[in-house]
Amino acid sequence: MICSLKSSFYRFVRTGMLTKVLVFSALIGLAVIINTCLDDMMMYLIRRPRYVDNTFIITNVLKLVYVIPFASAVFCSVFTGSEISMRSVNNKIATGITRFSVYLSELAVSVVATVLSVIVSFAAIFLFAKYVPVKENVKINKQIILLVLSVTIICIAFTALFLWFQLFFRHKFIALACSLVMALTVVTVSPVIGGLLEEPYRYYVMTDEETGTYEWRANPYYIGGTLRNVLTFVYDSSPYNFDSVTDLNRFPQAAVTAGMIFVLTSATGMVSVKKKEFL
Amino acid sequence: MDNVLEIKNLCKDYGKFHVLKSITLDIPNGSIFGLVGRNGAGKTTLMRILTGLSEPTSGTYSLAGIESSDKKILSVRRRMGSIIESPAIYKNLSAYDNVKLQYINLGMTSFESIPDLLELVDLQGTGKKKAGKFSLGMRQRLGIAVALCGKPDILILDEPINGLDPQGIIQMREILLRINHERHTTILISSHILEELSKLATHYAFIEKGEILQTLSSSELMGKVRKASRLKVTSTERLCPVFDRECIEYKVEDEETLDIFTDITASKVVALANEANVEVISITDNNESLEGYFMNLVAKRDGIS
Repeated sequence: MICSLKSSFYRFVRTGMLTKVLVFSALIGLAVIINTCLDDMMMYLIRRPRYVDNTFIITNVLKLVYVIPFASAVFCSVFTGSEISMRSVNNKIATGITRFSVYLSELAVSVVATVLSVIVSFAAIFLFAKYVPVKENVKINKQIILLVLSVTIICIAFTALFLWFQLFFRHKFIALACSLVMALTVVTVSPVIGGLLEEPYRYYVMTDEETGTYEWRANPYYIGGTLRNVLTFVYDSSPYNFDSVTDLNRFPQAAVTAGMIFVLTSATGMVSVKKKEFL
Repeated sequence: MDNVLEIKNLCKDYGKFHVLKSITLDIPNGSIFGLVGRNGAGKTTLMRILTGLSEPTSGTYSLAGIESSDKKILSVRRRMGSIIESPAIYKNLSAYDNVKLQYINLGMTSFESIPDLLELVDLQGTGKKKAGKFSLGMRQRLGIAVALCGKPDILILDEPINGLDPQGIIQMREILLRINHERHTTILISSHILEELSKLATHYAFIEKGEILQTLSSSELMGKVRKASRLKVTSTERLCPVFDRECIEYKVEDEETLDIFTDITASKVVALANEANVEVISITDNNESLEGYFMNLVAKRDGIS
């Protein structure tokens, strides 16, 4: 296990992946900042970025969950996918390292890369907020720490899923495509579910124009019963339904769900990899 | 211990398809064991099982006396190096880093012997050049270096000379012979290039459709291959009736060439040629090749079945 871990981290460093992760994460942080500033300039008549405060930091950190999972999918493809496609994983197995250890070491590197990515992106956001001339009172408080922690857990859950794809699909590009489609689906499905849940139970409709009679009618698009409970849970657990910082109290649920997904995916991976025959 | 690797009734099925059918094979210590078979015969599957990349459906094998079902097999595998199908190397790392990674995989903490290992496979001057920029021959040699990490007792090489140019093949042959002679490493090797294999192997196993047709040593093989003399004459047409009369076994290749399989002296051949009014241009040895022997073996098997 230790050999496999050492080997994976050595490769992470020597292939330059660590440097690339750090640089790319800083760029993600900057891109998110620029995006927020541009949004502000479009929104406000004064056509300049709003004063930078803690809300600015929170807004930007929330945006990281839209970007880092996609970067993580690419990382898993380049790092783990290559290990499978170049068959170098066979070198490990042929030397007596178990598939379980191989899985754990790949997971460890991917998780470390994701955590580094969140930390560096956040650092870029914070440093910008701290030193930009239009700043107000900016400081890291408990709310921001919890938010960053939640974002980290959510991104790690995505990473575990992407790693699973890479290890169990024969071609790394198919695995990457599946990962990106999945991430895109998760991002886009929340507003759709939100729209479905907002459908009213019944609606008031005019039945006779001459007499001006109105009556209540059942809405055929209303979703009830168990499905509603499931959709509500999914919606509340999704990190992609926070329109404003006032929703932040729901964020821990998203993190807890993500944590459960991470544990379940990793456990499934560890069990199923034991019988996996890498080509 | 006489055999470093003993395989007993090994079977591998993929669904209803029987890839390996009760393979039993002993690999003697210090030998270069050539596995000869056509594409799809089961060579790679057998090697994948031996290296732990695949699980057998039934049967066992023992490596250095440890049974495959024993948990100790994982630690014994450290005494085995392998290349299966193509060298498993990281193209974005240098030769040194590739070898170092395998050292780490093996739990080795001293990396002082890496330059010597690279020198053994003639990759000492590659520096920081990425393996992705190596020629095919260099990659194959790097694969050998990776397989040799930790001084293994046995090397399992699946088609290590595939795609190499003639110079690369000679270089690879020299490296393998050196490893076998200097380190006494047992080598289990498969190759399509049977002529090349015959220059290396001390033992052979012929495999066809998942079954071992025959195993024998190279000296046994030499005794079994058909000896032939190749005769260049001015006309085979006039010579053949004389050979038929003398009950000499032969095979006509073209109008001026024929192979004689009967043990006969050169002077007798010349005498018979004179009788047929044919001039002898040359007589050379043309013994049956490993390829020919294998093809005969397969033909016999197909004839039986």
